[in-house]
Amino acid sequence: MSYTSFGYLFLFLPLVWLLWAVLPRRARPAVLLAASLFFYWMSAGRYILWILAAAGVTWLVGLILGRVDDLLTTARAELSPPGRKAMKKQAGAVKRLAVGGGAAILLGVFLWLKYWPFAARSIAAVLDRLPGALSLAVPSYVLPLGLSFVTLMAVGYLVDVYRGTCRPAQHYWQVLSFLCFWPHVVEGPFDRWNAVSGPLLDPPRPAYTNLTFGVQRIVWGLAKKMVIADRANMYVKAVFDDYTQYSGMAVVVGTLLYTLQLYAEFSGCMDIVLGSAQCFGIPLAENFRQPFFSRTVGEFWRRWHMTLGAWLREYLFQPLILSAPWKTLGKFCRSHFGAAMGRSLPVWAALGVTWVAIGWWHGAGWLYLVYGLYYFFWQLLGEIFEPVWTGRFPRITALRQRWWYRLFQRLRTFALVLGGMLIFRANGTRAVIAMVKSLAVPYTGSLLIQLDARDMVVLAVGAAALLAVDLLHERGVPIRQRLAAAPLPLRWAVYIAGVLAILIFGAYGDNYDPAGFIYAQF
Amino acid sequence: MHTNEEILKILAEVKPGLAPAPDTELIKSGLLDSVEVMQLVMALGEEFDIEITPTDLREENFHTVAAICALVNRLEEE
Amino acid sequence: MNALRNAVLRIVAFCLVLLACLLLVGNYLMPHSNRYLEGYTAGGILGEDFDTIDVLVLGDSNAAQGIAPMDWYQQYGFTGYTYGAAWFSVFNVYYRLKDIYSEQSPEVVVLCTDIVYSKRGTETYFGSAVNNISGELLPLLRYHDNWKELTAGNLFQPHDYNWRDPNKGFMPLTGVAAYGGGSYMYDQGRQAIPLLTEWYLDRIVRLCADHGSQLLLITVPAATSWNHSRHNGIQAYADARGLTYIDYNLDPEGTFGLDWSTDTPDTGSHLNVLGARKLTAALGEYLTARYDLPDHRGDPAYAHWEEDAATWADTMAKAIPNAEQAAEAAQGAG
Repeated sequence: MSYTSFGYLFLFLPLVWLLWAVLPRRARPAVLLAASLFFYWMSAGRYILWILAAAGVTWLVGLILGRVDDLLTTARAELSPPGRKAMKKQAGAVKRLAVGGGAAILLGVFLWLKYWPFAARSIAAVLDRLPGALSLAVPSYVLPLGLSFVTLMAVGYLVDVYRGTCRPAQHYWQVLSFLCFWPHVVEGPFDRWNAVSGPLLDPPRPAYTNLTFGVQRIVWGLAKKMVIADRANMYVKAVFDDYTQYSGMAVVVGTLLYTLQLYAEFSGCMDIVLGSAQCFGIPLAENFRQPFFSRTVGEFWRRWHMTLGAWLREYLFQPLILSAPWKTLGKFCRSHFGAAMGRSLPVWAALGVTWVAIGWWHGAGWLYLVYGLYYFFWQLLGEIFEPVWTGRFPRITALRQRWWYRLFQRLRTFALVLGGMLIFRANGTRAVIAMVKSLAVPYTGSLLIQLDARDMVVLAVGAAALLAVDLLHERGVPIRQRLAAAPLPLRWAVYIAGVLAILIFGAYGDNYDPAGFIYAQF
Repeated sequence: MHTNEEILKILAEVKPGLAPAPDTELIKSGLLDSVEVMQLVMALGEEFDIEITPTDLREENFHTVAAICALVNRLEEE
Repeated sequence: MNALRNAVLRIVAFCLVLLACLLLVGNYLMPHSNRYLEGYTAGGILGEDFDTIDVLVLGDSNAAQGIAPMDWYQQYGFTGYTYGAAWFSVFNVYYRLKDIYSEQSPEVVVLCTDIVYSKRGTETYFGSAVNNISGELLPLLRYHDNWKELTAGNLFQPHDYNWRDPNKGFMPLTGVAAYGGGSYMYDQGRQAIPLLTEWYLDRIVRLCADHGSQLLLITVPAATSWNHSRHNGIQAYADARGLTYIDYNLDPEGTFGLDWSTDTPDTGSHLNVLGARKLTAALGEYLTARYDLPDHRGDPAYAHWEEDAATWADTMAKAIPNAEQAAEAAQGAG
């Protein structure tokens, strides 16, 4: 069931909301759970068994971790200090075993299904070139819906319980409700148990503002998806899928439009998702914070797909740096390259691992490795040259406060992001090389590819609207609250104009290809 | 007990030119990004011989020089 | 309680205002001429005088390219119109028929059954039904892309729905591309009619009964999209509702004589003008034998039809030799 389908928007969501609102408070969590399971089953059929099992593992391991902590607290009072220490050590070992085992099961299934076919293909390719009759069958799997989102959320939950930053859920249905909650199961965001479990398990009263704000956000998301993304898709598809036909400006415009498409679509989907959850008073995590105002690529990734970055920062990047091997690496670097490198090199190494993970999270393939390393390259370059700049040109710190320098930084970052987008959309690494080379070849045909001039005007106006809204958000203007405070005729006019704009300018119907959500494949 | 001055000295090594007041916001204002925070963590661990765990890597422990100083003092006691 | 009542009232009021706007804008965005209401010339029926159509044919592209009502007028004098467009569904047809009944009261309604199983490859039957029904209820959804046709010149131009089609909804194709796949009516299962589709078929049946039209089900020959299990599905439906059903894919009576090597423009999905004339003749014979259809030739009230018949004769005088030439070329090549 797609978030933009009639069935979701006009049947599933309203019916679930009505049921949720009408039934007594105690029954509401059950409504949400039942709706989530129904949604999952409608979308993925028998793969629902996987999510039921994953939730089971997560719940059990969480329970064990909590039980060990409880034992420790009660036993502590009766033990002498040395006994306490020994017990703490024992408990720590048990907890590490539990969290390690749980994470290994969850991640094992995830890695196996998502990456083994790619690994096997690569190994088989090597074996083919070697003499001898060794060969390897390359399997192909259907991924359960939301495999990577559910797995990473479950692992995050376990680590949080292990670290003691959240209390474990006592009941299986609670963990299941969290993991399979339909708004975040398909495309994220990666939510945290602490932020979501409260309103999910003990729902608030139905509220007029939650409902209307939620619906408004859904409409805004639909506008981004239907008017901008689905329209740009036609151009992008032509240029990237048939890349040998295009060069120069056509590739530039194609990449620009792909950037627009992906932003409109992914953030639009998040608007639909967060708006859906808001109708039920559940605040899911924001995934975007005006990414195109970033001044560095590092900042871009802290504003784009924020919950993925946050997950990897908290559960990969930081623990990696604090791990024993990294400490050894730090000591080695310090004694060989001095104090400054002693702190920087291990951090950069962890950064490299994180970028590879970001790249490969997006897909199992060499292209995605290139994608991750592309950003790593630029960030590392910035890190290495930062002391050089500030050392040689101390004035640069003052310069960076100037508006025009900041604008330059933003444009520079945008240009680098465009390069990343080209890699991300291209059909393989060979296509990337061919397309980059073709930039030097002038394109002589019409730049109106698959779209007419009026479509281009709609895209330009749409992009300007996105920019304007982002600008207001950047300035901290609460748009929906402002609008809600406006006089009724103005308010209604704006809402009606919005709906009309989607229905009139939406790229749906016989003249357009239907396009699925890009991030639903991960 | 360590003082804010010691922290400031390390901070200036990690990010030359950075000399905030003890209660200047470091994280939200973007003065320190996640990479620089981790470099700071490496430097603190080395300088004061303390073990910083992932649980300590919370924003409230790093958002000002004073908070960092408090964290270092607490970890040293443990 | 008051707060709740106010909130509900406000939401309902908003939805009503929104609906009014959707209908108004949808109406505004409808094409300026009935010529462009549909891909083919189905919209031309709105230009006909009231209560002048004796036989109304409903269907999709198979019908629009396969049945030429003007031949009937020339031969028997009764009037017909083929209301068909690409990807038409049972849902579309139900709502259009309702509209047509406000201007016409046909003696016979011929429903071409391809539409029962029609859906695009990427759609589900339910999704297709939802798209079609919502498009019928809210014209804005169907015509939304027409904003591209608006210019400074036609912004305030009123709609003119008086255009008349001399071909009466028929779309003559003169190309030839033979179907060489052999027999296709062998599959012995029975493809069930989707639930919502069946419901709307029943509504069509009732609509015809309420307006005193006799309903006849036929299937236009289509080698690549029809098969025997679909035939069985329709036959079962017709038997259950007591309707007459003729499947021209089975070449009833053996007199119809469709030749798949010359009578299709696209290797068996549609009929060209050669095939259409054969089908039209066979169907015309059946209609005159079975129903009591009037002869309007010479009736001054049908002066338009005399004019259109002359245009039609001209069109055919060019189209038939073209198609025959193409057929010869195709057979020569084969």
